Amino acid sequence: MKVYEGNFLKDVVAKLLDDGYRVYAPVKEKNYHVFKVVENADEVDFDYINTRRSPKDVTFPENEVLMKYGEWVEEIPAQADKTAIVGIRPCDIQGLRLMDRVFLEDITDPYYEAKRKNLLVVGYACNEAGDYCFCTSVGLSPFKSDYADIIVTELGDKQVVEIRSEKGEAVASKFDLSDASDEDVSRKKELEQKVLSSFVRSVNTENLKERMAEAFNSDYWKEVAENCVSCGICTYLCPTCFCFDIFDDGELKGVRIRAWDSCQFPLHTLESSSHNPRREKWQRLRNRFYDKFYYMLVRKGEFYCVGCGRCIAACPVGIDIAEVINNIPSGV
Amino acid sequence: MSSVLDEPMKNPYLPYKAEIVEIRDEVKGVRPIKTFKIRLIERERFDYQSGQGCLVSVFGRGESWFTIANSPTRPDLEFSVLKTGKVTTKLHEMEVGDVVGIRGPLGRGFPLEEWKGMNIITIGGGIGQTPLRSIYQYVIDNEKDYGDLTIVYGARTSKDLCYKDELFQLKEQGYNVELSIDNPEPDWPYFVGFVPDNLKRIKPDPKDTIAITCGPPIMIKITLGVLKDLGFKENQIYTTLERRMKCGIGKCGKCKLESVYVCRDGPVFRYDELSRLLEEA
Repeated sequence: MKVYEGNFLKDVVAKLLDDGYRVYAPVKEKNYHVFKVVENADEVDFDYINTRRSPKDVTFPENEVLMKYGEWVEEIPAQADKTAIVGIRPCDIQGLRLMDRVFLEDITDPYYEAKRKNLLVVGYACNEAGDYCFCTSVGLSPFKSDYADIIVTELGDKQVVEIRSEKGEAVASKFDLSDASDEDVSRKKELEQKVLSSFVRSVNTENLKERMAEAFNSDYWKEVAENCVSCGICTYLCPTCFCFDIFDDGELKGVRIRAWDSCQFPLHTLESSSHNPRREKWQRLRNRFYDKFYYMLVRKGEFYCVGCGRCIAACPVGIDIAEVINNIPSGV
Repeated sequence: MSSVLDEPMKNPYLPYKAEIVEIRDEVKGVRPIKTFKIRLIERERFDYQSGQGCLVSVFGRGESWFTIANSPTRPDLEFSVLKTGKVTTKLHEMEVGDVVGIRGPLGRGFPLEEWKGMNIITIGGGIGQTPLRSIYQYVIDNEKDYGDLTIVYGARTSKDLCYKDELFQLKEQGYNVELSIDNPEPDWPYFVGFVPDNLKRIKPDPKDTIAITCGPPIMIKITLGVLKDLGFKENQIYTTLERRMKCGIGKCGKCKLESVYVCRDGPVFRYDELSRLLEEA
């Protein structure tokens, strides 16, 4: 374990910019933070619990041109700039890992792969749980991540820098890091305890798969969806929602684009015969909860929810995924 | 088996260039169906299995998934297209010589190797006959490997039957082809009624038999009940599913049925694979 006297995150942003990286880092906008491509380390502000949007667009942009067409097709080379994301929280690093499993396992998605291969991940351990956070319920830690290249913990006057990969080592070696003292180690431990005790929300995942299988046909899902407006903000902000649409823009010549889509929209599954496998909004909302905690568990062996709580914070009608899961009725 | 997706350097979103070499009218009227014979331009044909599909690109309109309508033992690729959306409407306006894009073969086909030695019965309705046609052509072309072949097929009216000439010809040649239409028509010599009712009348013996059904969801549902009543086990019954599809390679989530991607894990499913799902397929 190493320590850096000063603000490693900010200094690493400056260093990476110097080295020609495209750097995504948190920027304060009005009363919230968002990951943006920055040009100067002074734009960055690390005083946040989490960003309003997840940083999934770094590897999976909201809109992306796949190819051009006219007489015939022209392949758009996948973007291959050296890129870094600095200040990403452990839940979002898990989100990145889960996205990797979707886009890189089985058939490789070349557009995603090009961006992912060139991405350096500098994580930022949490010093405080947000109002909607529940990452500890889905098996994560707010201050650890083995999937980052580097993970940084703020100790106030200095930062603990943990190197998790060769890629991370190559960058960290350019900084003057010293070995952590016993005091640094115990301060970090204390901080971790403080963080863990700051969680106010939890999800009961005990026998969840069985509970969900049993409750699938319950009217509970109609009650849960009563006020849902199918706006899709939950899927838009979710770090693990990956559904996309593909469409052509331009009649004779143009571009084929992929863009984020949402299982909450009726058009997502509407077939031209007018058949829709999830016609009702309660079926669509139920699909989201089952996808996060059941379907993807069957497919990939893990929950596709990282406990970031963004969908809770943003839902215009107050649907709370933690509450919904906890209140699944039994014996139906 | 070589497939486009087994070529590691290939971008799986990029289509092959192909040309329409023949167009046949199957059904006319307000819901017309045409069969397009398509030939790849820049490469030889690719191998595929009956039941697999392709995404056909009409640039400016998008891509649509079609199950391959002919057997891999026959030349070129055939797709039967019901005019229903923006891609299919444009396809219906296209002519011989026009260029389209093809991505495929995609998904999992029928395990025809596994079925060797078995009797085969296909039960189709309307445009759902498409994947079944690929099967019966394959079985006919490899006749010595299979037992008895029965083709059960129906549509609303005699005008809505696809592959009519081919089916009448097969019947003349002595193949067991059982046709039906939903309502009586003058001069219709065959069964009148729904496809599952025709199946009840035919009473196929489940012994050493594989049943494959494809058609409108309601027809499939009732057919499954009839097959079970006849003594067919779930692992003797296959179907193909249709969902809205975009990427075709198990990423975009459009066709996702619970943990299953219809485009990648299907579209062919054995019935016991579907009956253990929570959601109705």
